[in-house]
Amino acid sequence: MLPSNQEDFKMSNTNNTSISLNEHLSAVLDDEAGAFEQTRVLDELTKNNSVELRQSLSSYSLIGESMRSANSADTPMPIGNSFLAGIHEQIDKDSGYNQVHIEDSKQSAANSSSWLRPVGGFALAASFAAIAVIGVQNLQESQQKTNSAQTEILAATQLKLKETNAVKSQLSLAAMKSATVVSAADMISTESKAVIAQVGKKKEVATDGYQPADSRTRVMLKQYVDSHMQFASNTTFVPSVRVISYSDF
Amino acid sequence: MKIIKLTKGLSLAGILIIPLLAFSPVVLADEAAIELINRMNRALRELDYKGSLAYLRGDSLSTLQIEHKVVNGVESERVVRLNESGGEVSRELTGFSLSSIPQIVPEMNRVYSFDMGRTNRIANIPCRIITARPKDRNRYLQKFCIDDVTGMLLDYMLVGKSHKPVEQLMFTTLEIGAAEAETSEQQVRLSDEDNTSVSLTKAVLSAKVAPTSLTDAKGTHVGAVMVSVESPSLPQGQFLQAANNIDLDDGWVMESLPAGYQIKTAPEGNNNLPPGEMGTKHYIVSDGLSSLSVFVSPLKDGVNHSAVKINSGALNVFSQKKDGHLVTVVGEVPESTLKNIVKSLKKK
Repeated sequence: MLPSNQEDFKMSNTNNTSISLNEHLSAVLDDEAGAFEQTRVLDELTKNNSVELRQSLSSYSLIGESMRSANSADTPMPIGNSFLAGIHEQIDKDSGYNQVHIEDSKQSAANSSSWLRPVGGFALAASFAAIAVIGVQNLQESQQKTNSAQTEILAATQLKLKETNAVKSQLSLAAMKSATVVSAADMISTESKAVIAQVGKKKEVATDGYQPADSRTRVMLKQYVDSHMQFASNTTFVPSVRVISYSDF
Repeated sequence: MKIIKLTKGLSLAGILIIPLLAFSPVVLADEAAIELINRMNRALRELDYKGSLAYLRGDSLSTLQIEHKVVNGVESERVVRLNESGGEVSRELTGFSLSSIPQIVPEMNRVYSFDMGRTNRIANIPCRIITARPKDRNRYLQKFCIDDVTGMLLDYMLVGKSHKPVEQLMFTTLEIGAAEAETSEQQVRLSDEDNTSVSLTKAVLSAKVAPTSLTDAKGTHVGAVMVSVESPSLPQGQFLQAANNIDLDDGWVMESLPAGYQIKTAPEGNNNLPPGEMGTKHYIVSDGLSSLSVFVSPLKDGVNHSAVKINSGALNVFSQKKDGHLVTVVGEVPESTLKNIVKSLKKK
């Protein structure tokens, strides 16, 4: 029992030999062929009567190289009608392509399975090449557009920034003029006032559904925290550490 | 015949294995961890020590200097804040405090898993990491690093449910037994009037409880310095065992407590509550490692106390009006625990 690849080769040893070999050649170039197929294609290429296959190899290599070079920054991609014409010319010259008839492709899928694949492959390759060319052209256009848009945005941003800074400086001046002058004496308050004020900081911590504690409540809470530290802390020196650290509670 | 032999074999194996399991490394490690924490509690009270430490509370970092000494059996402690607004706390530990009673007992395995960890180095002193891992969400994870030789606590951390430390203190420098040799120059420096320190708390606790000597109980000589410290014991009458429907003062009932917690009444007349708060009842709820305080205060006419919820590092405060009273709970436990406590407190 031969493997399916070998069966395909046996079947292809008829009038469709070149199509089958071209198919496998394409697969080898795309790195999609198995070891058996690779060996077979290489054997065919080394034969003296494989001129047609060698031409196919050259054509496919050219197409592949052209498509790959589209992604390379170093190698400029040939852009324009001449490039497309070149691809069409190569495809037209390809014997396998010439043997395909549109009517055949309308036949049942079962009948077309063996010879339709290379056609699809070439059509796909050409489509990719066209898409690549169009894509590159569009990319260049869009890059130009993007560059000009970026320049416009940059200019607009700089303008906006200047306006914002101007507003900010105006606000700062206004705020400075309206601010209450606080002396150092005002900042140094009595101990109790400081404690109350510091407890007041915890207003921010009070959350959903809970009212910020008033000054009387805050003083009471401070006393509760102190009592808790002294009586209910478990580790000996931690109460003192906590008491002093929670003095700003 | 074979079955009999097998049964005999299993019995013999059981006899041999069961004691091995009882003394398995896990069990021994737990006991060793508990013993080391108890040694730490004693060392913190009995040793003279002085050092600097970093203290992290939530996102706030402070640097502190601490000095602890025992003179004629009386502990005194001074903590100076070295950053921000400064500040100083000085106190003599002559009365009741939960921290003065060794708390860790093997029964606490019910709510904590004690693990003996690797050796670490804090303030250039090797120490052993001990972890008290809670078995529920009613308490924080506690991590200690304790000097094996002296029992001194070098690093202490409380870890919240998000696995981040909510509080940590760590010595950066430490001298043990150096208090007696303190020079007058150092004394002056500590009490320097130019320092912006403000005596925020002068806590001289004078509990009406009979002092008993710790050395009569389970004194351990630690390091070169060993001072016999008179320690107050808590009167048995003030112990209220953890159970459902615990009767408190003035017709209040604690319907239930989280597992492992016990409730005790704080010694009356020894709190530093302001005169206006004299009618306030203070209860202490503790599991031996974590603790919280419950304050029940009658609402006064014309005073509008609102419900409060505050978090600062490990500390949570929760306050709620209930049956003409303001119930406030304060503690280094998760907020949910405080809420559950308030919920369980009912007026008959």
